[in-house]
Order: sequence, then structure tokens, then C-alpha cells
Amino acid sequence: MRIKQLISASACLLLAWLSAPALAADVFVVCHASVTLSADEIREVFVGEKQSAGSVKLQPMDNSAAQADFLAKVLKVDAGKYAAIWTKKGFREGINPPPVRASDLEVIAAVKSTPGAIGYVSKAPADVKVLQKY
Amino acid sequence: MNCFSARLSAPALLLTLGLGAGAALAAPESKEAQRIKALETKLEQSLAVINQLNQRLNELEKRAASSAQAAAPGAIAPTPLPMAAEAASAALAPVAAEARLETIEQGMRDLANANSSRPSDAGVPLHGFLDVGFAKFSKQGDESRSGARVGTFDLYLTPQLGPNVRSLLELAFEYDGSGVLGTDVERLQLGYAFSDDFVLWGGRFHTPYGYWNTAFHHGAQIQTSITRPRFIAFEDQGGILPAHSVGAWGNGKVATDFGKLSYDLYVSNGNRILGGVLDYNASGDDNSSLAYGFNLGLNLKAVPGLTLGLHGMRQNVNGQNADASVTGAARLQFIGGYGFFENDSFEVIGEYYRFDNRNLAASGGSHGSWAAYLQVGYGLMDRLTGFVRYEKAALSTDDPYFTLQQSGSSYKQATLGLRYELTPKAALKLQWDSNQDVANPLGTINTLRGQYAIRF
Repeated sequence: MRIKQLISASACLLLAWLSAPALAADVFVVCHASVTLSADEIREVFVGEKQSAGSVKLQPMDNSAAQADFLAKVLKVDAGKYAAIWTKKGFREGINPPPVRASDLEVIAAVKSTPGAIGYVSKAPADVKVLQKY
Repeated sequence: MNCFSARLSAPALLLTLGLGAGAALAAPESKEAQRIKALETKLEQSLAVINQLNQRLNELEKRAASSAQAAAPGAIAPTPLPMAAEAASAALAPVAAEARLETIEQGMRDLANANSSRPSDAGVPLHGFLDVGFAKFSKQGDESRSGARVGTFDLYLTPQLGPNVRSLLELAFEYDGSGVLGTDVERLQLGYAFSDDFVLWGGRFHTPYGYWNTAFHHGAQIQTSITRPRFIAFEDQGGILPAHSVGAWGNGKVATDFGKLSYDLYVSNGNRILGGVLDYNASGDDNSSLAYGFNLGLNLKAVPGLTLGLHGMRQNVNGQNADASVTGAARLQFIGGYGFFENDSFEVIGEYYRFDNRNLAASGGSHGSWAAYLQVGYGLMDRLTGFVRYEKAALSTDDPYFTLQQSGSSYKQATLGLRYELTPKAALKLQWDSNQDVANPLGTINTLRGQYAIRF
């Protein structure tokens, strides 16, 4: 009986381990070498509250491949709320939402080559500045 | 190849065993047991597919090894040693696979680089709002005709002309109370952002007093209620304040220890009152008297979601007849406060205006008046919001600034309503209000309104 319970517990642990990555994927906020921001400032950048850091004009970009995790973990809003934030921002202040990139690779390539760029990816990149991991 | 198969199948077998044992322990009819059973089935199906793939891979590799040996000139006839051939092909396969993978990765990197360097400006994005609805008035009058109505078709553009240049153009099409279609450039602003702390705008803009006027503009879908509070409605819809200005406007946000401080400072053409309605003098001031004002808001760090502010304005306003002759003149000056609070459940907006206007005619004299509203919205269910609003304007009957305006009379109004979010971009609203205007011979008028509002 004890062996059966042990096997059962192992199976449950294994299932939990298998399902864990799907529930909470990591998000890495990456940026051009010219950018330095705190965690609070990262949030402000992606809701249009902060558009420059010192003399550097910030250029945030969304990543459709990791957006759901980014919104949930960093901004703590869903896609509908995020769109509403930017509708109001654009309507009130004449600024546009971040352009959307299609993949981690596109974000990394753009961030490396664009001064002021800031984006997010789902895997830790080796050759680009990581601001925060969530 | 057998190793590959074994590596894959070992954890799968362990999982299968574990799941099987777990399932045996659980009650046969429980949902957990059924779920585990389903997982077992899926795992078995996956193992079968993996085995088939392994077999196919073995066949292909053997075929490739045979072809290589046959193609080698002067090659010694292969000794039928299947184990040796398999070992050789196993040694070659990872190298070939790695080369292929590197080629694919390089291709993806090239594609990503090409995409990332592609200009993101794919034209000027066009956005807008549209609403339709109905209104049922308890008493019929010139301005209170029951029936279906087309609301406002509002388009706005925010072209990006450079890293610091900002622009905003808003066009609105709407029918007035007599059914005539009006087209208006509601906002035409060009700005330059010197930093996050200071943006300078020029053109026609919504006058930054209080909260509502620069938060919702003409976007029916983003405001909770169907109507604005009457005294801050647009000039041609019963408002008594200059909602639009033509001039220069500086604004920005500064971080402080108490929270983020936003400010607005503006100078514009003063208004005139033409035919009983405020006009913002788009083509030059009629009396060379500038309007100027301020708005300070503090987004309190201690209470997230709460903004408290102060605002004020001053300008000289002439009343004009159709032939441009002056019928009266007043100095409009007010100071007041406002508050806005929003969290997951509540939305609270309140504004207060204290007027100390002067009669600029020979008789002179100053006149005190005030107007205020408080609106509270509460999330009743997932997509359903209820809201209530009370507004009141106590306006001096001796103040030419008000008496020259068609809507410049004291009133009070209570409003109740519901808003349902069909989608994040579409809302249905139902609103009932009861208005009591001292100057309206019809007395109290109750109104039921419905609205379907979208944004795009």
C-alpha cells in the first residue's frame, strides 16, 4: 500500500513538473546598451508614461510571441486592458503604442541595432543586455 | 538509434507506470482518475508515434550509408556487417544534423534581422469612435425630441513625424438637435516633446480644465456614461465652458516624493458668445483678450489610482449679435478642484468650479456662481458596470457670461445608468436622468437613453 502511495505521489509530482513551464514562462526584458531603467520604469515605458531616459529617446517594442506572459507578469493586465490603455494614451496625448515584433529573434535583432530600444523575450539571450527577469 | 528510443521511452514508461499506479489508487469514477487515464492513452499514442519515427529514421540512415559506400570509387565491397554500418551512420548523422540546424538558425537570424530593420512606419494609423442610440424624453421640446439618433462618428490620427514631434488630428461628424450634419476639426495639435517633463503644443486643443474634458474628448466608448455632465458638455451641446481653445499649451509630468505631478499651462484666443453659444475664435481673437489657465494634478503615490487636482482660467468674453455688434461683455474667471479615482471595481470622478465673473459693461459688478458633479461607477459583474451621477449648477442670473448663453441657467440633474462591455472595443449603455432647469418652462424632464458605442 505504501509503495502504491509513493508511486501515486511521484506521478503527481511529475505531472506538476511537466505542466509548470506552460503556466509560468520566464520573461526577460532586454534593451539596447544605451538604456538603463528600474523595474518601475520598465512598466511606465510600456504604458506610455515614460518616453525618454535622460537624453535617450526610448523605443519600446512588443513581442507577440511573449506578450501574454509579459502583460500578466510585468504589467498585470490582460490584452484588452492593455489595448484600452493605449487607446486612451493615443487619444489624449497623440502617442502611438509600441510596434509589435513577431519573435524573440526579431526583438533581439532590433534591440541590438536600435539606440533606446527596449523589448522582452522568453529565453535568456546571450548577447544582449538584460534589464530584468520576471 | 536504440539509445534514442530508450532515452525517450524511459521517462515515458516511468510516467506511465506512475500514472497507472496513481490511477489505481484513486476512485475509479473520480475526475482525477479519468484525467490520468486520458493522459495514459495520449502517452501510449505518443510512444507509438516515436517508435514509428525511430524505425523510419533507421531505414533512412541505412539507405544513406549504403549509397555512400556504393558511390565511393574503388571501394572495397562491403562486408555484410550491419552493426558496423549502423555505427558509422550513427556517427555521421549528428554532424549532418548539426550542419542543417546551423543553416536553419542562420536563416532565421537573417530573417529576424531583415524584419527588425524594416521601417515600422506602415502609414498613418487611423482610429476612431462611433455611437448610435436612442432617447425617450418625458416631455417633448425643441431640444428634447424622442427617437433613434446617430451619435458621433469621430476619427483621429496620430502621425509620427519624428522622435520628438507629436501630432494629433481629430475630426468629428455629428448631427445637431435640428438634424443638420456638422463636421468639425475638433482637435488639430502639433507638438514637440522636449522631454517627458515638457511637451509644447500649438493649434486647436481641448481646454485642459478639470478631468473629463481631456480624458474622454469625443470618445463615447471610453466614457462610462452616455452623456457628459451638462455644464461641461461641448459648447454646441449645452456646455457653458470653453471646451475648445486655439493657442499654445504646455504640459508635462514631474516625479515628486508624493507622486507624479502633472501640469498644464495654456494661452489661447479668448472666446466670444455668438448667437447664445460659445465660439472659440479659430481665426483670431475678436477682442484681443487672451485666455489663460492652468491645471495641476497629483497622482498620489500613497493611494494608487487617485489623482487630485486644481484648475483655473481667466478670459474676457464678448457677446456678439449676428452682425458682430457687441451685446455685452464679461470676464470669466474660475478656480476649482477635481478628483479621479480608479481601481478594479470603482471609478469616481468629481469636478468643482467656483466662478467669480465680472460684468465688463458700464454697470460693472462681480457675480459668484458655482457648478459641480460627482459620478461613481462600480463593477457589478464581470462586464457590467453601474453608475450614478449628481450634478448641479448655481449660476447668477445677473452674470452676463451666463445670461448671454442659451444654456447659462441653473439646474440640477440626477443620473443612473448601466454599461455592459460586449467586447473590449464595444459597449452597450442604458441611462436614465432627471433634469430640473430653472429656465425650462417644461419643468423637470426625465430621459431614458440607450447607446451602442464602439472604438476602432
